[in-house]
Amino acid sequence: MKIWEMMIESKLFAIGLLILIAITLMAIFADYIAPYDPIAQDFKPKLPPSPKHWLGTDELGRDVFSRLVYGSRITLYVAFVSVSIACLLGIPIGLIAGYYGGKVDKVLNFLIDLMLSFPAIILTILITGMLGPSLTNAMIAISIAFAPRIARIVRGQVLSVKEEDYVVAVKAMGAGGFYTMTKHVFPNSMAPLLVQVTLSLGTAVLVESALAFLGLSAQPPTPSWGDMLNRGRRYIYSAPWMLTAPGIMITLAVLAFNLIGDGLRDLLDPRLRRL
Amino acid sequence: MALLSYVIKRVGLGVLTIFGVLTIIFISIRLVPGDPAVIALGDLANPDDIARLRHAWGLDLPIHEQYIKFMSQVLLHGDFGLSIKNNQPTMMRVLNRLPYTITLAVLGTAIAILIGLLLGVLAALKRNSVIDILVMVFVVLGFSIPVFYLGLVFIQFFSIQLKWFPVLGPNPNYSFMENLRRMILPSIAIAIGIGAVTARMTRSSLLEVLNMDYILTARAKGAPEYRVVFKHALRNALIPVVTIVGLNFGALLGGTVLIEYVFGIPGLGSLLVEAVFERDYPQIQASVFVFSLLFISVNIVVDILYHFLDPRIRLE
Repeated sequence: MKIWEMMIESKLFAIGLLILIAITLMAIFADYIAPYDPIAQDFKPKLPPSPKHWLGTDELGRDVFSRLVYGSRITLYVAFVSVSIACLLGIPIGLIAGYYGGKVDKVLNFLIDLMLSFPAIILTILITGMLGPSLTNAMIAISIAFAPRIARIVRGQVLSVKEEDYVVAVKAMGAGGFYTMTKHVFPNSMAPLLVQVTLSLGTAVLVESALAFLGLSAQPPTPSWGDMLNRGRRYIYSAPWMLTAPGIMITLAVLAFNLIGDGLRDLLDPRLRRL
Repeated sequence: MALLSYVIKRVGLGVLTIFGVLTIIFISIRLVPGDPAVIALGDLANPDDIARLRHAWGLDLPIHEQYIKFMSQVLLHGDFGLSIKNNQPTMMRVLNRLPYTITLAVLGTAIAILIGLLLGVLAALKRNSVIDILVMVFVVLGFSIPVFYLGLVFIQFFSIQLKWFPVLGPNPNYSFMENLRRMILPSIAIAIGIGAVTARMTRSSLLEVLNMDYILTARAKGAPEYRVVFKHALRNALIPVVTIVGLNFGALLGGTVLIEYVFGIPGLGSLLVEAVFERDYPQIQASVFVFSLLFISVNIVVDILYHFLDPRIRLE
């Protein structure tokens, strides 16, 4: 029965990976896949789906399928860049807090908790609201909102790893703090971090499309799924096809990262396996 | 006694956090590229007006005096200044909009718990059956579908196709009962995500508890199965569920912004979005603060509830 369950779980992991690969290929080969220019207003507005326009056209006469294909670039770009920056900020903070402990940890941990007392979407709206709505500012906002989440995971992991015998042994041999931290503590704290990073990529896709949906991320005419969904909202009666495709794509992208994250968790730490 | 001292400590930490949140909100206006007063009023604004706004926002003071002025106004009078849009106190505008958001959050949480417990218990009791798999599919999809897309799908299906509900959410022009009816669709839409997480947590937590010795004892002494599940197992399985609902309350609050936008509900979330587009900085600050205040308060309640529910922690 365990094997059957594992099959189910690795199947989900496989589905997630396949979706992610498909979206990635779409982003890389957008120039070849998209039949038309995603920005050019070449056609009649609000044409329903047809062999010529698989997903119809939008209110400005742009091909929805072409915009959808190019939209994958924004989605993946924002997710990977902002989560990477969040890691660059969060990992050192978490390492220092967990490794040195004491007053340093108290202060850093309070700051982490403080940042987490804003709901993520609200914090990103605050930051983009102050900086002004744009793609770059949305990425800055997401990085700042996610860094404390990464830091907290790393800190928690370091707290347990640094008590392990091999770390104590390295220190007893006279290794310095920085060496011990980077060579021994951090590599052994990686597993939960990897899971958290994968799940964060999904949340980043969600937050970015939410910001774009509200008009706070990439500005027109850049094709982004959140913005396409918002346009579809306005024509929900007359052109319902405008919102279905971007809605499904955002869901699939989030789903992919969630499935991969869950799969990784089971793979890397069997103790955490869900019942 | 231990519980009381915990409550005092937890509330104290909450107050400290509120200080910190206010400090971050104070700093946030420094993110505005250039002079906030000029950006708010536009390049062509009268220099006198700009000077007056700078003074009203305290931007003409040294930074430490600005901070003291900001903190004392907020903490003593709940005053974040006037809205640029209509010169009304920003806090008053927040309070006018707040009932919609609170109703949405409360109904959403209640529906989420209901869905979560129901599906979670069902899946755990019928483990590895078709029901279990269906619940798991719901969990995976419910957690991944963006709340704003789900809201639009609900409108397409329940409002436009089936005509069961109006397209727009509540607003002050309708009666209380009509508004309640208009709140149903948005509340369910916002509940699905947390409902999914809660179902997953309930399922795994209940499965774990059902393997415990005291459940074996209960069964051995001949207690009927429903009593074993609901009296003995579920009560203990609920402890982690409380935490998961609390942890996800932030996501739910963020979701209210999007759901209010989708359904045109004049709540705090739509006020925040309007303020961003109007570059109404004091209004952004006041709205974000109240969102955080709600989140912090709910977390305090959840933490205390958690200690109250779990005697193992209470004794420590």
